[in-house]
Amino acid sequence: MVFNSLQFLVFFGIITSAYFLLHPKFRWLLLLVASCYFYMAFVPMYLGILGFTIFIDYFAGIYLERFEGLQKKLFLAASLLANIGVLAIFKYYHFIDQNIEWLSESLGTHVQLPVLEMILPIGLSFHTFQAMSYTIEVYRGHQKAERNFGIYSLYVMFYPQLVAGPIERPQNLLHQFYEVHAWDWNRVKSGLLQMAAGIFKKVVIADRLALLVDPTYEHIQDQSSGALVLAAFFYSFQIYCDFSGYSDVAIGAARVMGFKLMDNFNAPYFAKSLPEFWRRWHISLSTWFKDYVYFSLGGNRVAVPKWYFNIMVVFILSGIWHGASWNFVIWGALHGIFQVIGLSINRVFPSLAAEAQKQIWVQWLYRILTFTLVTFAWVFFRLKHFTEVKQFFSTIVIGTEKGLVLAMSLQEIILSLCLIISLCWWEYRQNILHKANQGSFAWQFSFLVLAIYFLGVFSLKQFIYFQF
Amino acid sequence: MRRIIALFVFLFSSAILIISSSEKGMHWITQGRYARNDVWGADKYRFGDLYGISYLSDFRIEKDTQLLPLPEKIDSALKDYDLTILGDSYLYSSFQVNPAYFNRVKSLQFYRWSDTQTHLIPAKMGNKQVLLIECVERNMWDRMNLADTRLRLDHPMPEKLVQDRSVKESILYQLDRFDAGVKKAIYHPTLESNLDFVLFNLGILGWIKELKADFTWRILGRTNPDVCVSQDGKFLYLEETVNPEKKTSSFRPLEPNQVDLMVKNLQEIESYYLSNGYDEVIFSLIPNPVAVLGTELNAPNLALEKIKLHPKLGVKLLDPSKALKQNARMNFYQSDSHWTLRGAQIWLKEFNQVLDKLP
Repeated sequence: MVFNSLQFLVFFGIITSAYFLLHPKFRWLLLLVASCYFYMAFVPMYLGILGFTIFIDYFAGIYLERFEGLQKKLFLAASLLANIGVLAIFKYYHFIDQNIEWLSESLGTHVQLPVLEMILPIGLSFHTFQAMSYTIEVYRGHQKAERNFGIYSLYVMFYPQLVAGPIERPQNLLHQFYEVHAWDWNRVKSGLLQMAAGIFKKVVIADRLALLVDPTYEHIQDQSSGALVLAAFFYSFQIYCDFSGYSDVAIGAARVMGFKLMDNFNAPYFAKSLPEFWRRWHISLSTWFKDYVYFSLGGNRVAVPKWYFNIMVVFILSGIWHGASWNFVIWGALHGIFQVIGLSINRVFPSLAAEAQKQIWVQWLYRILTFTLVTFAWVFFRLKHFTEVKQFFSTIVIGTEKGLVLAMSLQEIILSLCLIISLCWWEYRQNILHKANQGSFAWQFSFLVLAIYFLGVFSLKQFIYFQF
Repeated sequence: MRRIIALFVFLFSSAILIISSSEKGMHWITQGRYARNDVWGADKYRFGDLYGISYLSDFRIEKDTQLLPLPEKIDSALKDYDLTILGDSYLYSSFQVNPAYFNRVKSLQFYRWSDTQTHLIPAKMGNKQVLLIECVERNMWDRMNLADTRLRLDHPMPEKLVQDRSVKESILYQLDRFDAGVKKAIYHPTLESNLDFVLFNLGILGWIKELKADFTWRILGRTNPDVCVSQDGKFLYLEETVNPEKKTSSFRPLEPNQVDLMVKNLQEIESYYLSNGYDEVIFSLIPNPVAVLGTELNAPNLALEKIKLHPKLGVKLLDPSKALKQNARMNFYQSDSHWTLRGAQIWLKEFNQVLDKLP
């Protein structure tokens, strides 16, 4: 069940209204059943996998609290192993197998793992990371172990953020399931508005840009350099609107019921540097890696080479988190390399960088440079095969004799650019969603609904991040 | 007040979900809406199936929903065949299930490609048995083979026996069955389209759908991806019949071996049914409208002609393309993927000529 479907519209209407009609004591149960129904709409059997990690982590949490020293470490290790094991089997098994086979063939032998026919459970990386966050926080003593199995299950399965985040921390979410959320009209309006804005980003912008991006990337060999540059530019906004649109619907749907989920995006393409970009892009994952990996490795309180090493580890892991394929590893590594280069320049010319940032035109130059680097890296994210990447860049650099033929009409390109500019302006002014008041809600909401209907591309296209 | 709003939303959404998730509910609402021609009636097929997909206002043309009238004179002396038809919407949306249309036919059984029937091959009852297998060009590449015809006309083929499977295959098979069973029990397979029908398929909403469709077509040059407008702007076609990259298209470049395979399939089907109770087997392939109307600049692949003229064909094949090309624009609807009653009449005339020539 995707957010941009009628099924979700009806599901949301039933669950949200039932939530407020029910006695607060039973609301968590309603949300748990609803979350199971929501997840089973994809592949029912994968509820079992989710059940397995929930079961392990629930008991791990309790035992982590009960024991100290080596035993505590062992329980944490067991929990992490179970979670990473599920990820390894369902997400990385095929990738590992391919690489073992390739490596063995380069050494003149042939080794292959047994064939397992599996489909990646939807959103596996998201809920696994959320589950790991719970056991790590209990281990660190920042969170009490949850005794109510149902509430803990709901923490992992809460339907708005179950399949594509935001990846929540237990300190932020768990206690909210015990709170009584009364009907607050302003909160409901703001939630509905954020949901509408999310759907707008998805079906009006992301799915429209996909009309050009998808066919262009699928037939790279037939494209001119202009078409590829435009497709790369559009893809940057497609993936942003697709993913942040999902997050907006998730956060908005939760907010209507009174839950506050963490923000996942903050106008990332206005970042003036790559570290700033990562503070604004997929915030829940960036902070997860910062809190649980980067700081655990020592962060920046180590010698410079080790610091750079830590950065590279985090970004390569972030790449692998996205997908079991070398292109994601390279995408992560590229971001790591860019950051290391940026930090090195700042270390060599500290005053220059600080002074330059004070001037507005330099700030814009930095924004454009950051956006260009991010867009360059997205090419590796989008294209799975090296031959395609090579073709992509050779066409752009060397050019082709092919004329500029685009998979989209000129009018649609102009409309797409207008939408991108409007989005940027809206975000730059920072007034999106935060100024919902009684007077303007009806107008804003009606405007969004009409715009979604008249400008939306309704293809039930899945969200890009569902595959992770 | 808040509770009343919540209760209203809950009851309304639940009712919509219950209706859309049940066969009975959908049957009830579909019948009710199609019976009406006013603003509360369904607008999906009133103006042609392709209008119902695209909602382009230029193609809002009332469709003739009558079936082809029965011939007035019926000569009972020549009724020496029982006819079984395996056909598609070209036949069942134009003809009644009535043997009176057909020369020399005493009784008629009709089976649809869209159904999976368990039909026994008829026992000899005195009359000779003739089987007509009809299919539109866009579907013939998938359907015209023995396995598919047997799936519709014979007992379903036995599944691969469980003991033939390896342990791993058996486990995966059982897990798949469990998964499909759970999903079927909870979610209706066409829930999304049912919801679309229940919520939005009302004549009263037609103008707003047309407004969006016209804006998208006239300003952005796009229409629903399943439909395309002919190059002269006069007809709607199924996109799959025009796009040369698709198997179903009339413009896909054809390799000789694809035609050879089709001929082999037809021969296989014929010999199977001749040896299993039928006296005659006739095939009829209906051309895609775009292959007949001549509105496109590209040359069609002439698939039906190539099959018909194949030196090794040796089966009875009715291809009405040539007859349909005469005054072609009167033989097909502008906003529907099917022929008009005139087109159906032309096919019937040709088919009756084939029946007349049977021994």
